[in-house]
Amino acid sequence: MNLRGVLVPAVLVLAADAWVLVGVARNRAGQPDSTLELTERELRLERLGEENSGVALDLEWEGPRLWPPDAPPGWFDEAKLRELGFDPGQPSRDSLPKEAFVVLEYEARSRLVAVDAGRDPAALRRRYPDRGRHIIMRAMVNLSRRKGSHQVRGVILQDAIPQIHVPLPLNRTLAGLSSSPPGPFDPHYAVTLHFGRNYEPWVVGVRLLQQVQ
Amino acid sequence: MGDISSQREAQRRADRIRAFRQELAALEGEGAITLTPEQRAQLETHLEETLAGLARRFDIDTTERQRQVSWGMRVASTIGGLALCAAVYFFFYRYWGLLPTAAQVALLVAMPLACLMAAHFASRRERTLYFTGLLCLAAFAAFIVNLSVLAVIFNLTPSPGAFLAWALFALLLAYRYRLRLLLLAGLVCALVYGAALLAGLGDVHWFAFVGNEENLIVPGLLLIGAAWLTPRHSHPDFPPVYHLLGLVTVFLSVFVLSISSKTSYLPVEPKHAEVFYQVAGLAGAAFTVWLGIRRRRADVANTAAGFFILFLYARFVDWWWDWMPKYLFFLVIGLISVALLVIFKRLRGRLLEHLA
Repeated sequence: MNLRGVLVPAVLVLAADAWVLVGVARNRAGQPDSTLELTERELRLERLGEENSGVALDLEWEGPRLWPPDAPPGWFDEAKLRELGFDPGQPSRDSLPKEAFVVLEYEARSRLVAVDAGRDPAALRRRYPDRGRHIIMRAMVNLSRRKGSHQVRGVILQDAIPQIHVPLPLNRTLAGLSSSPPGPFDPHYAVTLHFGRNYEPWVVGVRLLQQVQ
Repeated sequence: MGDISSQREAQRRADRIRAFRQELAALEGEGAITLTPEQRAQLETHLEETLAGLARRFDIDTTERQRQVSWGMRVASTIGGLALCAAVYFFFYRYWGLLPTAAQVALLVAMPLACLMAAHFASRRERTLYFTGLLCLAAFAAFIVNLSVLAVIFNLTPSPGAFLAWALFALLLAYRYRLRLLLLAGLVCALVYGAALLAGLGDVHWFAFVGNEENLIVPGLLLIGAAWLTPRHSHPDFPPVYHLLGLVTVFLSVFVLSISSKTSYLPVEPKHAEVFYQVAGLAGAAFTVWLGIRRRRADVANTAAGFFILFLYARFVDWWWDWMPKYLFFLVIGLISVALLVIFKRLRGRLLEHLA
């Protein structure tokens, strides 16, 4: 049987998959970049409907304040934008988003807040050495200009991985729960999350909290 | 008949024979020609032998009815392929949460390989490649699901590299089995990868290629150039796909940039960049019309002519809509259309002369 016709595309599939899996192994090798236990407030359960049996958690965090428009930009100011490679001095142009590393701080009030951004994750880790409190992750950032004004501020458009997959058998713990409600609520579960060398997360533990056990 | 190497060439020859028979009957009816019974018998024998030989070697349509059925099969094959793609996608998402990670990965790897093997077996049992095309499309969809779902399972950062892998996969299958739909899919993936690569070189997020159409111009031009590298003898229907996709990509990008260049890489004010793209669009479209006529490529000339009109009318709206009375605006547009009609009629005449 002459299989030459399908051999090259088959090798391509295997090579691409091997590339992905080597990347996964590399991300998860050695000590994680950060390890945190987050609750349902920061990792909201997203039921994906009948057609999708997967279980995913939405990573919830607060970016720099955008409202009211005349409020000071906070840490994501013009100097930070220049540090990230933006040129705020061209009001007639719209800027395109860039990739940056964002630091999320886990506050005592149980919430994740973006507190810094940079292009060098190692430098950010030196500045924020607490691996149990500060997550470094990739995100898309851009410059925002107030209409009719020279004031600029930075915005975090999207984190690179907005949904975190929960594999078997860990997702069985969440089996009886429905999607997390909007607004404030008492969390039902806590999830231990590792962020690896490539700043990509994975779930290593899920436990129900006292009130629902 | 000896120099015919592909099914499409064989079909064209059969179509010519059918047209020849119709024309011969018309000429005989008008009294322009009269064949002796011997000549007629000799001609019919030759034509029948030629058609039978072509049908044996290439499984072509020799009658109008067969042709209609073939069209139906082609439509059914395309719809079936797309439906199979959707089935692969929805099947996996329906059940993947019930599987451990190792089984998910094994299933994801096995799906495109199984579809590839099925396409290979189908290709050895049919000459028309309807089922092969359908299964290749399913293999392509399975490979898209493969890399997309691996990224979801392992929470990976999205990367444009996946588009390169999908492009290579689709192009390999397209060239192996002469499938134009997969060629188109592969070229679209290659365009996305090229544009994302350029965006990355411009120090912006790779996904930002959608925010600046300049990233699509170079990959689009490369597509047009790549058409000349396609082996025309074995794949005569592939160059028009390259031309059409490349031209539409380049001219649409330039058209959007001629309206707004606020994110342009050009080191000038956005207003000046827009004027540059307005001039470049008109000049580029006019040049491409000329080139298409000179190279006897009706598809290139027609596409470029369509964009030339689009560029021209967009300018008219921009220049005159606000200050001209509406009746005058439409009168001017009407008169210009008549002038264009005269120009295109002359161009068409030249094109026909060239093609003749």
